[in-house]
Amino acid sequence: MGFEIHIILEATKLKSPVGMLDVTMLALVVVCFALAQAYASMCENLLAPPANGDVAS
Amino acid sequence: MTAGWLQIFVFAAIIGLLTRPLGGFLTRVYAGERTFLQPLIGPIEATLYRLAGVKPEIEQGWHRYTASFLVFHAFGIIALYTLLRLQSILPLNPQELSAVAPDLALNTAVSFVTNTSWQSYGGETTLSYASQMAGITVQSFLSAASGMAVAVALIRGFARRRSFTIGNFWVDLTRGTLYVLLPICIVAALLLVAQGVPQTLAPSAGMTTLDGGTQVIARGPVATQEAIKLLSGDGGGFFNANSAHPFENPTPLTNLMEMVLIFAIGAALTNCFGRMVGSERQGWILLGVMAILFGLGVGGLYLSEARSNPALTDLNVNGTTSLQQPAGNMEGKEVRFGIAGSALFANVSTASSDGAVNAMHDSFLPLSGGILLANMMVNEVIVGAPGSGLYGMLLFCVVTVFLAGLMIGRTPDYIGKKIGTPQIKMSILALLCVPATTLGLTAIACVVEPGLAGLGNAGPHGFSEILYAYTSASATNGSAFAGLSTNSLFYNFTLAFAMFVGRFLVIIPVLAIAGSLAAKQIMPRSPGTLPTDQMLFACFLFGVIIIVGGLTYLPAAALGPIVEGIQLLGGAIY
Repeated sequence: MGFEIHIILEATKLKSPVGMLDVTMLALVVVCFALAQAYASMCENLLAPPANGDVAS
Repeated sequence: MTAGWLQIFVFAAIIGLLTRPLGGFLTRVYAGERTFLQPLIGPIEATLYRLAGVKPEIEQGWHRYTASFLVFHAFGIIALYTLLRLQSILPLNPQELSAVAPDLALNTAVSFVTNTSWQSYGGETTLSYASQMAGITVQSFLSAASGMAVAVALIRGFARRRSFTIGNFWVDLTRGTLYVLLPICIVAALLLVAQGVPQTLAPSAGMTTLDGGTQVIARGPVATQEAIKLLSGDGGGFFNANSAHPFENPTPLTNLMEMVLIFAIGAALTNCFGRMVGSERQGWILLGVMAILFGLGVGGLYLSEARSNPALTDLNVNGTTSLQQPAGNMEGKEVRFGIAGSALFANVSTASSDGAVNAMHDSFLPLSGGILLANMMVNEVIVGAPGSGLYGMLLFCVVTVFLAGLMIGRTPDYIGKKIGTPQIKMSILALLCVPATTLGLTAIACVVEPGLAGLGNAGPHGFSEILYAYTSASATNGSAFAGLSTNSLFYNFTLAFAMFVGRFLVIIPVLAIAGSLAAKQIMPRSPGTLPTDQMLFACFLFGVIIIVGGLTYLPAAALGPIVEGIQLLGGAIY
């Protein structure tokens, strides 16, 4: 893992079009979608029928 | 003004005539039935499923459908971001444009994947042909197809009984793209080329002007992008000036055609809804409410813009209509479209979720700007983008039957499906996340330095610029008020966040409603059922949309366009 990060950091020093900011942006996208998936799970919980059986059939 | 009203009437008539045949076609496509395009597209469809490992006969529950939707769009954002960042070393970049900056690339990627098409960049000066064709255009197709898929999944939720599935996302996405979007776009692109829209991979042309100077005329593969830009409800133009540019929208005929493309699928989906739930009347009721909201908007907008600017009238400027001048508020408008063509286009663009512009919305009179804002503030339910307009309207239907049930003591059910607490919770969640994001981010931008730094105008007009930007982003509209410089780290991030919320945090509860309704039994109509295919329900629905939108946004609107409109009468301009 440490070696991989080292490679990424080295790559940013070169004249590569991809930099650390890009890695951060893409990580941000992944985090946002992970949160969206968690939001979907929350919706699923809200849809679950209540314990007292008050469910529309 | 008669010609202007006639133009509006002709447009409405064309949409009315297209709704039923296109709705029937959409129904057959999403039911998996054979269409006249089957011999041509069927083999391509089958090959795509084989390559992707999709089994079209296997359907998904709402949770799996949602997961597929999210994964697909996550990859879409990453792919588009990567393309924009690498465009300088990729082919099809004759202008040798540099890579798009990271924050701008993120904003643009989120913008087009969420079907918003907010553009913090100038198309012809920022994006290579590869980025326009393989990035922007592709995402326009896919975001529209996925929006339609979500709407159809929700319709299935209403139409099915005791089903644990709502369709297959990959199949809905593929069929929507191949059978609906692609064929219409091919025809539309050819018509646009015939009217003078360029379609070329040649670099910009260098010209010598009459006084000996040089001018660079940008061009490129415009027609193909233009067609899907309009049909998809996406609205992101090839050029910075969008549909005001003569290469995107050269003639009054293309102006009419573009507006029809923007509204066609959104309107037809109401008919598709009616057919799939077994009563076309249900669809006509929804379209009727959309038509009333649209009529109020376009009528108000046209009347407002046809009058002269009071600030010019005070200077004794002749505002009388004659053969020599169209009169009215012509600031920021193309003379080849005039007041009616601009007002109608602006209303179509903001009522739908398209966001294309053929006039500069910042130059509309304050109350006209307020109408454009109001169109977006009602959650883009006035036809909307393909899919988003219908599922937005169905969310309001769920809330309406619930409120009507409370008022008159009737069972809250819609199309035979009993509406319970979970569906209400999901609807409210979807309806509230957009205004919460819009108003919250507007408030932040109004008090922090990076937010204020982008302002082009002071006072209420400046506030309207900020409010418009976040309303447009959250409602996935994408049109801009101009005047506000948004290509900054602050605006690129906050607008991207607003677009993300406006798309995904709305669609997830919509799919949850679809899944929960599909599992229910369809109840027979009883004396206690509120009939939802009659005018009474249409009135209820109209009232709920106005009250919910009005109550939520009225204080903010009062600080922007309303106070600016009142001050303009006293001669104050910003």
